[in-house]
Amino acid sequence: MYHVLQEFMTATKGMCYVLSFGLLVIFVPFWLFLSEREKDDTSLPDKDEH
Amino acid sequence: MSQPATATGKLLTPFNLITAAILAVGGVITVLRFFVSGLAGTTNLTDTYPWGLWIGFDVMSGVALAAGGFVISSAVYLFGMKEYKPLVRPAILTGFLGYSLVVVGLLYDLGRWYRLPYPFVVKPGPTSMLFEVGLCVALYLTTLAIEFSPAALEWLGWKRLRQLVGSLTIALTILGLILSTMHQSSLGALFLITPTKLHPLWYSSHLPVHFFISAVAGGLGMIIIESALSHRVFHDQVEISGERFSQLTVGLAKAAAVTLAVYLAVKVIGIAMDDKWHWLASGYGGWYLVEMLGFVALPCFLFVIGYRERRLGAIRVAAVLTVLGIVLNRLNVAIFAFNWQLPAAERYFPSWMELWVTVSIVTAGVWIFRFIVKRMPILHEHPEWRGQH
Repeated sequence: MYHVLQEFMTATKGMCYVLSFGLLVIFVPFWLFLSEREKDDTSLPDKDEH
Repeated sequence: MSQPATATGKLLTPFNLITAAILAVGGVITVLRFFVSGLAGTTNLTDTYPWGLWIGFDVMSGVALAAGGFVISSAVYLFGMKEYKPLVRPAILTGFLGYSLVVVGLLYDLGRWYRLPYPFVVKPGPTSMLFEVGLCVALYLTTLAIEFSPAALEWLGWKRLRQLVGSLTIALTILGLILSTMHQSSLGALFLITPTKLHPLWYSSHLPVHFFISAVAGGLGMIIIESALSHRVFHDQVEISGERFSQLTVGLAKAAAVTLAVYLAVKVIGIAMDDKWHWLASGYGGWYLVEMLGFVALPCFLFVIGYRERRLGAIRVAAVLTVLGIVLNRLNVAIFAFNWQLPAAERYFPSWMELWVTVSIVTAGVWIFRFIVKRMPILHEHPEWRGQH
């Protein structure tokens, strides 16, 4: 059963779609973690200062 | 900084002496290469390995690491991130020198180097991917020369021409973005005809996408490294405060973290798409994991930590790892994972003269960069042209 599923997922590129969706979902907490401290942070580059 | 810094200084410094010795030996090898013994006498290139270090490092890595020019100028002039404007000129200069030295490295590698313009003026090959790369690099080098010219024209005091070139900034930035997107990806596309020669872990029908995304990350890494070194070495030229410079570095770290995360995701999807998981358990698989984990995932993590915690040290380490990772990737594609099925005795390893020429080209780039930065308004704005493109 496992081999049948693996072959099906490979032949149809299904694994690729599942993985892409998983990585997209993971990107959300990654982005939130990355930008968590931006809300009240004043040490970021000031867009008006140039 | 209102006064242009003086360009005079001591001539017999350790840096000058060591680099002059490197360039002197490089000059002798250059004479051997072009006028005495040719490629056969100076390189370990063969019919099996017609492309060696001069293509794998000087051209492939050089182009990728010079991507900072189009990345930062597009961010500032097209996407409105004007706070990064102080980084534009150093990045354009790095890109201009990088591409110039790519052409120098290419001349060393070409058997009949004097035929470099042939594809454009004698016998074009518009169906060849190499033609597209050559055309884009030639056009982008011209674009970079014009983008860099305001600094030279301000230095020379040629005001009318400076005004004219300044008015072309947006058009040049758009042209640079298009040309860079095309040839950065096309360099990867060059290897699409090598599915039997390039190891499956590095070969992908999406190589152009891999090359483009990794070039953006490499360009960002180079901007961080180059600006940190310039800030230290040319501190008398730098105009912006240390605090603002730190803010810009931290901002670049966020962009680099996202770019590397996307690159890692695309590479993982590529493995899944072609079902190459079993290759990861081989020796080459271990080497691939070193590249992916040590030089993509680790710097991505360090950029994230550096951005969140405002740690400049972590960001700079991550930038160095990123740049090394891009170089490693290009060397893997062009040399290490190429012809991977050949026995060890038939594999290519560069001769000491190839290595020396590469070091000499990089050294010459550092010299020219230093010469220009000490004289022209690169790290500061010219008082008469303050706030203009």
